[in-house]
Amino acid sequence: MMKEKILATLAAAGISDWRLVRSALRREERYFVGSALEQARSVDEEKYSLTVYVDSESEGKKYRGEATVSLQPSLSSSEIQRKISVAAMAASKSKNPYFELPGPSESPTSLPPSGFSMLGRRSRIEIPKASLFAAEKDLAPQARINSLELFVTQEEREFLNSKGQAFASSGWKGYSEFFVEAVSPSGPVELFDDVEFSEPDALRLAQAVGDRLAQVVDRTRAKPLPNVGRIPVILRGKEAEELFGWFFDNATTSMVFMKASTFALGANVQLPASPSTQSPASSVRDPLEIWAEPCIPGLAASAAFDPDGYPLERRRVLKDGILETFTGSIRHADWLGVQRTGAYSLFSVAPGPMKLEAMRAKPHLEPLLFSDFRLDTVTGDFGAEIRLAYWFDGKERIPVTGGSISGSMVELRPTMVRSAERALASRSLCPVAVLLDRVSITSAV
Amino acid sequence: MWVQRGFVFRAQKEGAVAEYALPHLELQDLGQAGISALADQISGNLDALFYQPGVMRYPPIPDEELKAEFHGSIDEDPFAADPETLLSRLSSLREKLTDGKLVVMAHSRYECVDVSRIFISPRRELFQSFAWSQAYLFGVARSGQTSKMSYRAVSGRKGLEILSTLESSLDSLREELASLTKAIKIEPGEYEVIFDPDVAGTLAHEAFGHGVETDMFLKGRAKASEYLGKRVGSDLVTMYDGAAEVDHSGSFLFDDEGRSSTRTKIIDKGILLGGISDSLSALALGIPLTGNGRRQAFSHKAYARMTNTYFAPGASSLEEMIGSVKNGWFLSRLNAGMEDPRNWGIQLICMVGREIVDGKFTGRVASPVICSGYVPDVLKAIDMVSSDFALAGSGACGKGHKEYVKVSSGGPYVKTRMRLG
Repeated sequence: MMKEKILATLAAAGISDWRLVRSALRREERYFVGSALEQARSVDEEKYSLTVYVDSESEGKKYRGEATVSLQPSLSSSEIQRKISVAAMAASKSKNPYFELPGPSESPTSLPPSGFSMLGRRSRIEIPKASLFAAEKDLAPQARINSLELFVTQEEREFLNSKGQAFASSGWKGYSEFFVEAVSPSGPVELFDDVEFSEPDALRLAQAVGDRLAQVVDRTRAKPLPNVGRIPVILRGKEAEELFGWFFDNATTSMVFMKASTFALGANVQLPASPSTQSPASSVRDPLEIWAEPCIPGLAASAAFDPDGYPLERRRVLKDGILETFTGSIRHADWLGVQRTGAYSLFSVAPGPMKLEAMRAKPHLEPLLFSDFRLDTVTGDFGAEIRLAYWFDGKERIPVTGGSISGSMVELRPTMVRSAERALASRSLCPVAVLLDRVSITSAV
Repeated sequence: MWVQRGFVFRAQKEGAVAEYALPHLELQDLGQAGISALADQISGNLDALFYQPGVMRYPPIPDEELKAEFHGSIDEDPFAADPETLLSRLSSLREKLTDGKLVVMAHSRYECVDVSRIFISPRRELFQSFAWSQAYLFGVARSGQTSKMSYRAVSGRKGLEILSTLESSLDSLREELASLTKAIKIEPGEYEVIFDPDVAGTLAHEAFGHGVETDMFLKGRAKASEYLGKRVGSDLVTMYDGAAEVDHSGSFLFDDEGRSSTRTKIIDKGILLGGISDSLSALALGIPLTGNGRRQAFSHKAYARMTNTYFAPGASSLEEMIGSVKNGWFLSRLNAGMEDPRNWGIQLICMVGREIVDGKFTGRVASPVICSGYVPDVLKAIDMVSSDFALAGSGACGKGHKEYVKVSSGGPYVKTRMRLG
């Protein structure tokens, strides 16, 4: 009904090019304090995102403007009309070089159905809940879950555009954030983590909580980070993923078009900064291989098409540190004059040359949890305060807390080394660790 | 994220509380029978949620009689303004900042959100309508392959009038970007620091804003609950949170649970007084309801959240504060902050640090600067507070890593000691 109203309004307004995405969600939410249920919520949502395109010509050159509006199902016909009219006006003011919308096409990627679709309504929330709480008994009474939030969402999406591209998808997204705690001589300590999932994968969910429960026990013994001098830093998990993500994000058409990225096709993006200090490719210690992935089983952002409706297939982005292809929005690809590949949410990184245990053989600092790790995609600067790390002084692996690290991807990219082991992270399948030299370490004392 | 329209039904039965949110209620032409059927469907959804294993039970949610409304006003209505003029002002900002040599990329943005909320319960009917705006100018300066970024931001329960403030900041941003291309890495260590009001406000926000959200008390996650009535800062530290009594991005008439806005004095001359509450944690703990129950959207849960959070002004001038620094940094352009209510760690990331030695700026600039420390140590080390007062409310505050709401924070310039890296 709403869709028909929108399409009729577009036709009446004479808007010939558009893209409409409908998203309908049904979400179950549970909020726990310890094992008690603080509150249960159920949410239905329906959203429409409409993009209108308005073309113009100036001095023989064709331009295309665009504007996107959110439309809610409670809007009246006159409200829809007014919103579309404002969007068309805004689109007429944004003049960018012309680009074609994708027409009808099949995607070479097919997404496997989620295991959630085989479960009944109650089991969809009870199975992840039981899995997340399962690890608690292994570490009781030393450590426990303080609080946990669990969300399981079913999303149905429908895409259509004025060129006849149309497809629908249905998927499941789970999310849980949790705090675990243990008691130290100076009082309780805690650690935070969250996990996104698209499958009721009991093992993965139990491990996510179990790892943090074990670590929070170590935090009870943690000492303030002493002055450890300049030793290598091993970044793990989501933080390692962010470092790889810096390469993936800087290899996108929008970043390059906006001059926010300096990456160029055919260039070794792991070489040091300026031409005056240019080093031979052999100076890159661990040349990277990164792939753009439409689908990674277990990750909810898997998609057969990108947000513009462009079909996605697996593509190699970096090989031996050399940038082989840009990914990203098709309009920016056209404006750069490069091949259209589409915008990907997911990527994978090939296994590295060094086992995690080998990385740990020499003195190092291995942070496992930060307050809020930040890596700026444009500047490459990163850093954060440490909540829990292990300091290996050559003899002992000592839990430490406090202090911070900071560094720059621009400087560290030639010398970083990946681990051979890989695991699912938030938006990738990537090495579980990265070894970094020359990271600045600030002590807590 | 901010554009939303929907309904949330909250019900309490035998103490348990459940919520059902939905985007649309088709009431037109329903008739009494249709409305009854819809009500049955909604209560059916809620009923299914009440009877969950291990559900917590709360005292009855208070519902004192109240009818109130608030209609905000702005000077320049962006929804009525000529879009060409707005576009031209924003384009001009971007073009003036980008010189193609040093500043390789710039980005200007203005957004205004018109908020209308209704709260209805058996004995309360509340309505509020107001607009808030925020505008940004970002620039990226590049030297070789080294890129540095900075910004100016303005915000408030205002309209297009905020743009003139942004326009007047263009020259200072250009100069700052030029200085950042020569930025050094700070030598890790503990320093004297002066925070500008935005960074100081974020210190307040992260230290004893999140730390006194009373749903953290209920979970046993707030160390602050053990320190009520005890010293947590120097005599110069007085701190507030409240949607009432100041007018900025976090101001409103009533919160998302229908409680009237208030102002809470959290710290008085260094002594921790109390927290800010959502209804359910306050009821469970038997503490005052402060009107801080807020949702990211109709579809999200209400949590105890901050509104406008700030240090009270002191008596020093900024010049006196700079003059008193032997070896330290003046820190501005907040990038991010993060709380640690259980263990009182703190992280602030600033994009610009300006070195001060023997009371004078040396001209050296560092970027980014990561500040960390133990919250009571940082607040007890506050030895000067300026008489200025400014709030900033661009961006959004998350609870952990989600649940974003509009807030402001700020106050005076503050001088303390922190570990920098």
